[in-house]
Amino acid sequence: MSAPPSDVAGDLANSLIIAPQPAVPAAAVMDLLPDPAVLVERDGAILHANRAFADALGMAPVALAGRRLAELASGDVEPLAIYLRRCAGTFQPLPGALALKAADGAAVPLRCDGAATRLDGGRAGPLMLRCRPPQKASPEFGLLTDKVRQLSQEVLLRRQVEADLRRSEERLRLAVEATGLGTWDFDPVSGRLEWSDRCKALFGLPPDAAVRLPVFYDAVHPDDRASVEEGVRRALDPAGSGVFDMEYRVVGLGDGAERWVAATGRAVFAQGRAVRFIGTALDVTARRQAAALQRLLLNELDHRVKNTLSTVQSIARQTLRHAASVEESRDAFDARLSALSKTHNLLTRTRWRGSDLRELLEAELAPYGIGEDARIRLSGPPVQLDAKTTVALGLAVHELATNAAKYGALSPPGGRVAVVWSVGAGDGGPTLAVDWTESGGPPVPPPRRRGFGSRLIERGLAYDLHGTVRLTFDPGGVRCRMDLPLATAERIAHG
Amino acid sequence: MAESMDGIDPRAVLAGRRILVVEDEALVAMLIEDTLTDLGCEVVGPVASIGEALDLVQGGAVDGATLDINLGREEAYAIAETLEARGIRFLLMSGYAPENLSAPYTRWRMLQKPFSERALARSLAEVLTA
Repeated sequence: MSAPPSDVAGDLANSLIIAPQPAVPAAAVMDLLPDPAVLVERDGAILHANRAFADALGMAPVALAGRRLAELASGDVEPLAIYLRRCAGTFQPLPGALALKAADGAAVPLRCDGAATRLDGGRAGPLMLRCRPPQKASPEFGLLTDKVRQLSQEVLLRRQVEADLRRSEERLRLAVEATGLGTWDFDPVSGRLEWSDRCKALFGLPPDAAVRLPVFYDAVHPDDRASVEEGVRRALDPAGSGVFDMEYRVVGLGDGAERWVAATGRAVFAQGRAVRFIGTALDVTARRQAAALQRLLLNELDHRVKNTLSTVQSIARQTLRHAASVEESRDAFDARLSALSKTHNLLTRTRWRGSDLRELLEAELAPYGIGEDARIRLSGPPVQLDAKTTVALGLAVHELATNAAKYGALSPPGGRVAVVWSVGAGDGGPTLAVDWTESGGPPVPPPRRRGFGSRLIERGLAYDLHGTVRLTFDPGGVRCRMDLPLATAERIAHG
Repeated sequence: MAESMDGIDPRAVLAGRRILVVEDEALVAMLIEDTLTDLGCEVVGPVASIGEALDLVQGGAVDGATLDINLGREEAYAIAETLEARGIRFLLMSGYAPENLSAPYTRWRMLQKPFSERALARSLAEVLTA
């Protein structure tokens, strides 16, 4: 910086004052001065006061025009009148003092240099009083100290502006951080990169960590790095919109934690190239995880639905294969679907964690009557079954009950079914033993062929539950013994 | 898909083949077993666990396999790798949509459940003749 603008303005003020209509151009130039300055008639009537002068008195510049300096004096007006008379007699600035008072009554002592302005033809015009700090500079260093003073005033002014800016930035930073946003600022020309503390935290870095562009790319997840580099390249391309808007994964440099970051920014272009690239970064890990969990759940739901459809398909196919008539197959299919639905109802109540054995038996056998004086008697401790056991056992019990209602103990009045279970200790953990015993029914002939029901009970249950099932067509009544490991099912205590 | 089977009768391809069925749901296993038996295959298994499946693969002649890739919570990848290493062709089965399969499985052919008898016959025949 060779010369501060105010210095140029000062020279201009001195030269322009010689113009024929001094007040007009002088007023414009005076307003550029950082120091208080006032243009007055010989009698002290104010022609023009610049902003700095008005500010010193806490008044508006227009409020000062036409007033007399004597009206603004804080004390005796005589020295002021003498000083103005002396100034009127010289074109060389004459040091003096102005003892003024501000709008609020406070004393405003100002040191000034006053002189008559030179009009056309060398005549003396109005008086220009340029004020300055009270320190009296020695004449030989006058010019130098004047420049130093102007410079220091500029510095002060700049500090004020910077302080205002800092306060403004601080307010913005607080507002931004309240939203969880980190901010970043990249200078593509110098390569300088600045991150806010929150931005650094997003990348697993402490607040005092130094950052450069390679540090940023190092932190981006390897799978996302190429697309992020491409996004930055596109944003910095002067031919593009300058907009950057991406979501990518970050592997924390300090903590190794994976986070999802949503970054939005904009490049600033000057003379055909990017000169600044600024924006924000937000941690969207929670949102991403929620979305991923939702996708996973939908995927699992789809999987479960498809598997259930396969089960239904299998039931339908085998029901058709073994039925004697269309009508019989329709009724059997409806009943089996209903049995499957009941197991699902129980499982929905526990969010597919499982069911209680007694509740399962009650749900499947309710149509036939359960209780001490009823046809079906249930007896055993509370046993918790897992989801798979619930479905398999539910369908097996349905087949046993259907068979009993058609050909066994539940077909005539007086027949009875006892379902008794117990939990014992097996080699590989607790085992569940269930005994289905029919009595009081018609004599049971050995079946001519094994139907779907038998297959489901004997093979299906054993297959699904890794247990053993023995189905006996005893003449006194059908018996079924099921021994199942309770590896995944837990026995629960009496409550 | 049907075009690629022009001139090839799935039954002709499948008749007499020994097919290992790996499926953990009893009812679905029965369905696959019945369908393959109807198509003239000799069903090996069905089995519900990786251990049983590996025993059968290592113990005897198997011409092909259908492999459920859920198997409760067991990963079926070990069986798939073993089958591939032995040059045994197989068809993956899953309730998952193919686009939701995780990476190691995507290089093999998959049939989504539920499936028609015709789709099973055609897919398995294509896998065996590919």
